[in-house]
Amino acid sequence: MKEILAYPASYWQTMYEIWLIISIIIYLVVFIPGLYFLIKYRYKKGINEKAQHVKDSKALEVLWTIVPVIVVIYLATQSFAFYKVQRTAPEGSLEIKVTGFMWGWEFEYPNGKKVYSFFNSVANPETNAYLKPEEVNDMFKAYIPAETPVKVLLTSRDVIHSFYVHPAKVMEDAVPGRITHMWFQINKPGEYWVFCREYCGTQHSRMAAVLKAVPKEEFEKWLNEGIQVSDSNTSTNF
Amino acid sequence: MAHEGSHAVHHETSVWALPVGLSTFALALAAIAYFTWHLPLLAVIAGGIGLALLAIGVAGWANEYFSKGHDEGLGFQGIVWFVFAEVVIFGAIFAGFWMARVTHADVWVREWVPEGGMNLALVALLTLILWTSSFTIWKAEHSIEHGDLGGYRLWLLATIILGSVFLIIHAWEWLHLWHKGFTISSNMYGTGFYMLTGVHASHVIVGIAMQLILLINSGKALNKKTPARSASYYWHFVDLAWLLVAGTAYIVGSFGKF
Amino acid sequence: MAAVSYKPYFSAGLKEWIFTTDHKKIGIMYGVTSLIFFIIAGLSALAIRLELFQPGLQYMSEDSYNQALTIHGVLMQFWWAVGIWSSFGNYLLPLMIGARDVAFPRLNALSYWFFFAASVLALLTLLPGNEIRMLWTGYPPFSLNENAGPVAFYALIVHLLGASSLAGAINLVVTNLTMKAPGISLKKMNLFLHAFLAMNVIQILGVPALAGAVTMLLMDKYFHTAFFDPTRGGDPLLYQNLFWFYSHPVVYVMILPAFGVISEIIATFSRREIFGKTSMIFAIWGIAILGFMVWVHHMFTSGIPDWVRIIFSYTTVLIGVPTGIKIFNWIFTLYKGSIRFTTPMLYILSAIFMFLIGGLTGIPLGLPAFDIAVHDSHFVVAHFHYVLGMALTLAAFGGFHYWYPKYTGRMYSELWAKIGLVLIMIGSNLFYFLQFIVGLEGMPRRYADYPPIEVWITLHELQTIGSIILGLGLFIAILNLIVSTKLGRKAEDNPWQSPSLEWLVPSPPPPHNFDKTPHMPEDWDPYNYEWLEKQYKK
Repeated sequence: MKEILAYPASYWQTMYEIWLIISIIIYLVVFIPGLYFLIKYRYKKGINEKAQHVKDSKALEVLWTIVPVIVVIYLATQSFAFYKVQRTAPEGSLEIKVTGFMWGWEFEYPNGKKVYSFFNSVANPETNAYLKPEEVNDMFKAYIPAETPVKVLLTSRDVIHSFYVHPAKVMEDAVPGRITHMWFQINKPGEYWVFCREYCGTQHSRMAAVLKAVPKEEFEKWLNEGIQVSDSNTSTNF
Repeated sequence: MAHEGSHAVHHETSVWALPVGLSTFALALAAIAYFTWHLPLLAVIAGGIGLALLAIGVAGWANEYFSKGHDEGLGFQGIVWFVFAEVVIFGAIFAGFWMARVTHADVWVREWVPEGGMNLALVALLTLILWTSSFTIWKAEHSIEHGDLGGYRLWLLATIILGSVFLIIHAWEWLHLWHKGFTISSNMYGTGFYMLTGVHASHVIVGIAMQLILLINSGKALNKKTPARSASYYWHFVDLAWLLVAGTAYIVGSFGKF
Repeated sequence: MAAVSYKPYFSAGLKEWIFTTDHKKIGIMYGVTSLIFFIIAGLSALAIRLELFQPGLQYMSEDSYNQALTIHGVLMQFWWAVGIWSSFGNYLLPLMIGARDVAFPRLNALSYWFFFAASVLALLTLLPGNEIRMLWTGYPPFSLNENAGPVAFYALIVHLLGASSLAGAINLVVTNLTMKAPGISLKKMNLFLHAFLAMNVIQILGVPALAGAVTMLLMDKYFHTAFFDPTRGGDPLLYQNLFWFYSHPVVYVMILPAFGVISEIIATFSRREIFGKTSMIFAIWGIAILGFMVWVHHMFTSGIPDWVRIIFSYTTVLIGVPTGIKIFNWIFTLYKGSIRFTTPMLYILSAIFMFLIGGLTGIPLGLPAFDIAVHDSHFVVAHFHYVLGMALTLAAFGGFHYWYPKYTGRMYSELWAKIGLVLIMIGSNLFYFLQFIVGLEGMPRRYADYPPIEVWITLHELQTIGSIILGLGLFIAILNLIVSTKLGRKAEDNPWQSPSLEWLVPSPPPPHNFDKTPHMPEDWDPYNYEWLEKQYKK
């Protein structure tokens, strides 16, 4: 069995495969008869100069109404089932608060530790080129424990942003005046992108952050080093 | 066939659509000049040109309509469809108002309602005025249907006066509330209140403008009765909308705890 | 039929154009304005594609990229995808129902001048200092931010376009309902007319919601109202709800007329009546009604309660059913036909091909479990470029070619039209199919720059190549249409042998369309091709 890189991406993957198979079938069901009719009933001098009368077929029309209804209801229900899992953070998740601002992210950990990532922290200061996640300075990286579910509480300080965790294939908007939520879990240690997915102006495309998934012990060590004392005044009102 | 000889009806050209169209451009430009270019002088000039074009265009249009061709009676349907659209416009503001009313029920009742509450006696008076005007415009429509031009003019004038009185009292009420510190930017109640009543008042103004145009052209009204019917329908809608607007802006806004 | 000599409408002088109330001239004016803006929007799309060819910013700053995105979105949506159907509707609707003009000819001219005023405002935003960068969606609070540019432009453009759409829609609905020539019943009406009726009703009910939303934007920005300010009881999501209450149904405003055009052309060149015409009509109205019940799928990740998302996922996928019915009926219209592969037919067959891909990729976007990963990614962009970008454009170009002899009295060059189509199909599929893949790989929308992920770079390079081929194809197709107005050979009045009413008048139509109101006989039907043959025999 293939190792699962991240949750809830695995559910998305299944949903994607179900849809892909169904839509390829539908595509062929439409395309093959279409192509066949186009060839068979093309105008030919002396042979097929005139169209023949075809009576409307109630049976056919009912068929292609009922079957699609069943298919789409199935798809929506399947999605419902997956969505419930995709949206419900498992018990014992690590809870972090993420605040979007123009243009960057603030991560706040349960013990008050904060990490900031700015639009220019993902760029090379000289060439202004987009960096690879490994090349980003460590102080801008939000550490997360590998193989542990993380629940994210989101809000925004100014305009609407959207928090998209690339490997986990999950996103949710950060809306001013609201707290939204999502969860994810990354199993393999490494460095991964977070992107802003809601258009927010000049540096929208640089409003990225790096998640560094590390083993649990290393995460605990990182979490407790250099922790600032009480700056709750500057944090946004959750 | 009803369309026999309709070559005369069919106008190939009309000069009046262009000035009305350009007036909206000038007015838009005036708003942009004022708000984003910060050129108040240009805004005044563009706005003046826009209003002048609008007045000329509408007057010419109405005159051309009343003097040429015959009544095809389609305008009424046009207004009916337009009223559907109006319902959605009001619906958009209602949606904003009610959403805020429900989500912020607490703070709304505690902090947002102006001191002393809303003046409901005044609302009753406004309602009475507006609904009387609904009756007078119905009388006007009734008169023209029966060919009574004098009655038509009289009842139309009565409607215009009632509508104007409504606006004047309403404006006084706004000023009064504004001075109490209840402004359009105080909170969602202020915003919702002034937007609902303001948008409604703008419809009253449009309705009065329609009636004025009818009054000015009333000399030719006997063989063109559709405009009177349409304006009357529109006015009934404005009066009916007032019930919801007043009910929401005054009663739902300032009472209860839900 | 007495052949009266008349000046064709398009040889009129400038004064007659400016003050015209003739639906045909107004239709042409809409069409020309629409095409000019289509070209501007297309060029801005090419600029976007060139910028995305490689990571990094090579040709423009982030701000000008965002401006290009805004121009592309606003112009394509409002001027091309909606505007072009104003052109078709104005020109063809009165002809098809046997009327001399629309119900309110002066109002019709006014609609165009609203559209024109909006066009000038849109061009003004190109001047330095007036750039708008809030995209065609204009979401607050961002659009209220200085970074987004002057919101007054955006809001007033939308207002003017809204006034234009509303007046035009009311006009066409009343025309359609009251001015049909005797013998044309609702059942006998062309599907094109049914599509336009539904589309215009959507406009009437939808446009005011958008107008309300941008009015709130205007008020919030310049009068400090509280609509979108959460600290004073407002809610930014109110805008999204109102915006999508209009802007989702508006995609059916864009695509239903395309369906109408497809139905006309596919029937004519299969030489037989539309299969299941009644169910086609019901499908049109099913789409129109369901269209108003699905807007929340644009907000699946915006923080609304989960149960709302689930309800709207069901309504959203259900809209696939009437759409599917239409496609199946088209396919079975081919059955036992006598299919002629003329240029318009090839264009609309391509449109169906593209629509099928676009439609099938639209279904998962209505499934929150799938949407959660691709919302605001390039997958969405690819989906609506298949549907609204290509299916709509191909149907519109099919329509251009189909009614070209009627508009101009001339024929276009078949060869160049076909070369254009081949290039369009190669380019667009290379471009948009790969866009699906880059979207599945996670590429977010509206990014001026992207991180150097190998597979993204390759996909973007190929897409840019595809977009250039697509641009070339469109350029050839448009140029052919322009050049042929002078060089094309003279066309007959009814080159496609269609009994639909617009083909029974001379090409180009005389100023008053019909010398006297046509009375359609009992056995006439817009898709009864044998009736026409019988008339010729007589």
